[in-house]
Amino acid sequence: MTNLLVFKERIKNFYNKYEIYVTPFLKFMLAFIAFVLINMNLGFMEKINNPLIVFMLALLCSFLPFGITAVMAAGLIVAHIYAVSLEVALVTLILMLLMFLLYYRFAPKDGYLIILTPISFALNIPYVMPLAAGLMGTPISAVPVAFGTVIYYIIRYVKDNSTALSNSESGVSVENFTYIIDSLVNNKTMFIIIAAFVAATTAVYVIRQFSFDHSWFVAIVTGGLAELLVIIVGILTLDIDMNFTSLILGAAASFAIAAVLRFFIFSVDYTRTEYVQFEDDEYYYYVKAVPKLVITTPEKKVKHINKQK
Amino acid sequence: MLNEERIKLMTKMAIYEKREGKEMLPVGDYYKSDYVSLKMVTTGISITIAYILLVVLWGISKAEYLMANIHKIDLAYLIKKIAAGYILLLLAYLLISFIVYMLKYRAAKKSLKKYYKQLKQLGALYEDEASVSDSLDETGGGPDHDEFTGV
Repeated sequence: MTNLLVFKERIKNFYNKYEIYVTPFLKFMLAFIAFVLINMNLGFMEKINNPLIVFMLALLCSFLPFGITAVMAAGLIVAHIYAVSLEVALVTLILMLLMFLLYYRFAPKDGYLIILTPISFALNIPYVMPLAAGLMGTPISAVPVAFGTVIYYIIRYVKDNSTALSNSESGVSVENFTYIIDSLVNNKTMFIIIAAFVAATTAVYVIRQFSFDHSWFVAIVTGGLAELLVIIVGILTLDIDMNFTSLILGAAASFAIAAVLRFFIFSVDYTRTEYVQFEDDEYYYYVKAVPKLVITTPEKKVKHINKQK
Repeated sequence: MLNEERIKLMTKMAIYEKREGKEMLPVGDYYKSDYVSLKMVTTGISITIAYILLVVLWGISKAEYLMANIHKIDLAYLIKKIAAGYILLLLAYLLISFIVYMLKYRAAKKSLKKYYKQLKQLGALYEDEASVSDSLDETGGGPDHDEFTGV
């Protein structure tokens, strides 16, 4: 345990020292992973299915505000879907606009949850998202996670039905509109998963508010169990086909990841070096403000082996 | 002349402006009623657009049925239903945005209070400096060797 704490302190120091490099790097990595996954799953438009373009876009995202990454990812998704079917692309675009108008406008900081959720689905660990959202946000954070889930299922629908969609006669067909909307509205799996995510986020949020020791750990476990419970009830009552082993494995991995995240990220105050500029009548000031660090070096313990007289 | 105390204060304020202040400072320019009503108006507009999109989406998904049964559909009833849905959604969102932005305004004012206090301190520091240099002018001294004389 002490080793872990020291390691945590080291990470914190490292972040403090190299914040100007670390943040853009993390932003770059997130954008890069998101774009690559989009291309891998939906690479229908040849022009943008190119590692170099993805690399350049991600590089751009590394120093732009996070909202831009979300917009770019949305643009890539719609462009790929457009190459398959104009109708589905239109529906996707409308759904994304709805998400923006109904929620994102009020809480633009939650945008990363919408991007991270489909990524976590692609990596087979979707169950970590509501746990993380509950650990650092409020129950309302379940909304962007639900949006991310919807986007994931749209992508999956297009991926699974790409041949059928692109084979339909040229021109806009009303049928394609009806298919995509029906397939989303009647997707019981999607709704069960959204319900599970809402339950988990709320459970984690409520329990972590309590002040008993390790309440966050109990919160993660309860949240994870709540998710599993809702999904299992869904499988049993609504006749959904879902792989039990991957469900359990994914949930277990999600527990572990949520615990790691909580220990290294959510519980650490990454106050960082600030560079600020200001002026008065006589001078311009370019100030580098470095936060004072309280470094906890492991205390030396003296253990007496022989009895003291 | 560099005044260390003043630089420290200004740095703290600059950091605030860069972090939390970015969101809070614009809020401070409004009266509560102006801020909340402005936000409610923009919410109303975005909800209107969103509802139109929703109706379009619904219309497209039911297009075949609507086309086939256009002569049978009670249009007045349909429009009434759509309007009722719109009003319900609008009211719900306006209520939510009223509460959310009231809380936001309160939080911003609270956070700005400290900032304004620092601003006042800064003003006082400036005044002190001005009076010191004034007195130096009167006695014909200069501020060059203050650290030795302890003035």
